[in-house]
Amino acid sequence: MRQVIPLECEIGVAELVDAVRSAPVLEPFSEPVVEFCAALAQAISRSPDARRYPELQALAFWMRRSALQQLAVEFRRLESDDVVLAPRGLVFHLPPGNVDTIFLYSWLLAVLGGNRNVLRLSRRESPQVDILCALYRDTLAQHTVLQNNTAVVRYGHETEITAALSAVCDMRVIWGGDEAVRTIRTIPIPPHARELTFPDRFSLCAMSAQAVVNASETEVDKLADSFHNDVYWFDQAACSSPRLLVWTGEVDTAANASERFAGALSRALDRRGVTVQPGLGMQKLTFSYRAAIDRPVVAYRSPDSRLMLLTLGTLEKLEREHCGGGLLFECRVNTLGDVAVVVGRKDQTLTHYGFAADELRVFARRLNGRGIDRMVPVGRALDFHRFWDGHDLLQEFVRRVHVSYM
Amino acid sequence: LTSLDPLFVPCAEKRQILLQHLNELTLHHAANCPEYKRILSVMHPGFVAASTLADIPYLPIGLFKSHLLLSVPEADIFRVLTSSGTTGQQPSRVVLDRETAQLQSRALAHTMQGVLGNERLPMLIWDSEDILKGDKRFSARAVGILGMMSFGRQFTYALDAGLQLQRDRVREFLEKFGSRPFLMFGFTFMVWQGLYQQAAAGEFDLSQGVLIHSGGWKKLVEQAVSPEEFRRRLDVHCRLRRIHNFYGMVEQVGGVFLEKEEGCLFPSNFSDVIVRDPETFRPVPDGTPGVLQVLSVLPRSYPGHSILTEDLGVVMRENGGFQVLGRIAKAEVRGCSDTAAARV
Repeated sequence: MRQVIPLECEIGVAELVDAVRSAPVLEPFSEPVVEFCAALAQAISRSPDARRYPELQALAFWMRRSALQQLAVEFRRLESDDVVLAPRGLVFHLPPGNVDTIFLYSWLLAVLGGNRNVLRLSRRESPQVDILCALYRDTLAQHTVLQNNTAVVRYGHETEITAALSAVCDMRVIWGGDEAVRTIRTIPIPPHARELTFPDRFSLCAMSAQAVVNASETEVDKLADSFHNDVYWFDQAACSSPRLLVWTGEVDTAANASERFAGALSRALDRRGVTVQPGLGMQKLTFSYRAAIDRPVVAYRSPDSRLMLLTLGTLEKLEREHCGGGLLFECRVNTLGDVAVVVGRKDQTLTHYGFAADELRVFARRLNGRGIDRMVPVGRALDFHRFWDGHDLLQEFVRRVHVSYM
Repeated sequence: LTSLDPLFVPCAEKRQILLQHLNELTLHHAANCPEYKRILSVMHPGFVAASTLADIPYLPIGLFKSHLLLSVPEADIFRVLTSSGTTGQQPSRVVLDRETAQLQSRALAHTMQGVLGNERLPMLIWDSEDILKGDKRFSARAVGILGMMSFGRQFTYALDAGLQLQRDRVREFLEKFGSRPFLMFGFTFMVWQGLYQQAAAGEFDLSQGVLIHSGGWKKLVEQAVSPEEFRRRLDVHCRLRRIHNFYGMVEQVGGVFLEKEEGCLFPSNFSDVIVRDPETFRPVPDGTPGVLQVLSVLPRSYPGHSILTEDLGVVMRENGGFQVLGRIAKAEVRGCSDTAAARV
């Protein structure tokens, strides 16, 4: 397999594992690790190559020094007089092949916890990943204590490599679709090892129709810009990209809000110069026609292939299969509470506009674990957070050592 | 439409007749195919009639892969056609009743007579007889061959089951019929690999032959063979000069678009094309490339009278003469679901 971090070279499994095991075990949030991560963040934010990609800048911002210090504070809060947090050991990460920054978020939380890491990238290359790996290697030159802590390798469908790395890990993290999780899960990990999986998810947005009707022109444009980021940054294919827009309120109010918002969204797409590849446009069109047959669609609107809006008459038996790329189902309900009946395990993020914090908390309690792991304002769907898919990632990568002395 | 000269139809008049038929078909399918009715009510609420061909509602071609659409009672199903489709892809399925099947063959005959004349010619088929056996019978390749067989006689298959050239058979055919006009048919790639690649230069003299060929250029484009190059090389290779490409699809059998002058395909009396902007899906002016929409008055048993294909093309002539420019590139969507990892 091809190693890309710490050095670019061909490498065998045994050699790789030996190298990573030779690295010193660091304490959680130790000085050298925090220094290295902050230096890497700075390198990303200063690199002219990396600056062309907003998702790389979002990553740099997320791991800038002050954010790491804040994370350290939150981490210490997880400790107490009778709990000491300790690294799990060797973490084997299998990030998705086509969201280019997730591998570094996954790694970051693990390395801050003091773990040693092996990351597997698919053979599919992307400029974003290449840039990140090059900056990582450059930064490593000034931070040699991290030299062997982390190895990033690329390989294809070789089950034997995944099996060998799984056999020596203390924790395995699988990002990616249900199929990937299912397949990799058939490969054993040691009895003590822990596994964290991030399967396929579905995300939605809820807006108060009255709030959108009442908002000023500037406010609606801002809302549309934020919504654009949530939907279009990853071709609407990230787990947290909204695919269903729920309007709460009266029929007329919702119709007005929807029309106003769709207009604002079209203008936002023009401002941002969004284009859609013809192949994707056709795929979305075909998907729309299939949905018109198979789902309770009552209306279809599409100013052009960038945005297709399919109005559902009901949320009952909501189908979650989706083509991505800028296609939205929308539906009106009376109150946020009416959404609860269709929420399921697969639902991850609810982006919201026009609701009070209390309404959202009441809604979360009402769901009572049925689904939805995060509620964030419109525009923040893709922001990474220590709380993800219902897990606290600060906690997940460390063990709690109980120290009782009474 | 069959009463009109297959080679020349004044445009405006033909389009007026098409419009009337297509409007009638839209209502027929809406009344008899529940899926089509749903689509019409969602995509074209309140639709009554189109005033131009461009206003006739279309279905994206991919719909025939996911849904079996029929506008006749199941008891009337005479045949289900399937597209060859690439491996791993769902094939298209198209339902024919006797009436539609008949309309298709009559329309095809009318169109082909325009270039072949009325006499049935000895026919050399650039494929294997095996393609007509078993469950392959209703594949796009078989349907194409069966359709063309009604214009020939003395059928000879040039290839064996392994698609190897049957030299002796071809030689025998040419000894008997090669000095007078004869017909050849095959899928473009079969002709290329069977005739051009397997026969030696000068081995056969096909100067009296008419070749009708069809099917994608994808494999040939991979070998850097353009339509012009295809013609040029076959001329040098075996003195074959009368070559007509046609563009057709299993979703619209019969309404073929035949190449009458070099590199230019023409709608038959039963069909027409519209080119649409891939971003807005609105019709573009002649000369502007876009997505091809094909219209045909033949499909009565399934709602395939107006189909938005996934092919790119450009209209070159006022009477609808056009070129196919290839397929729309497949979309590659990013996202959390990683299909590559699924095969780890």
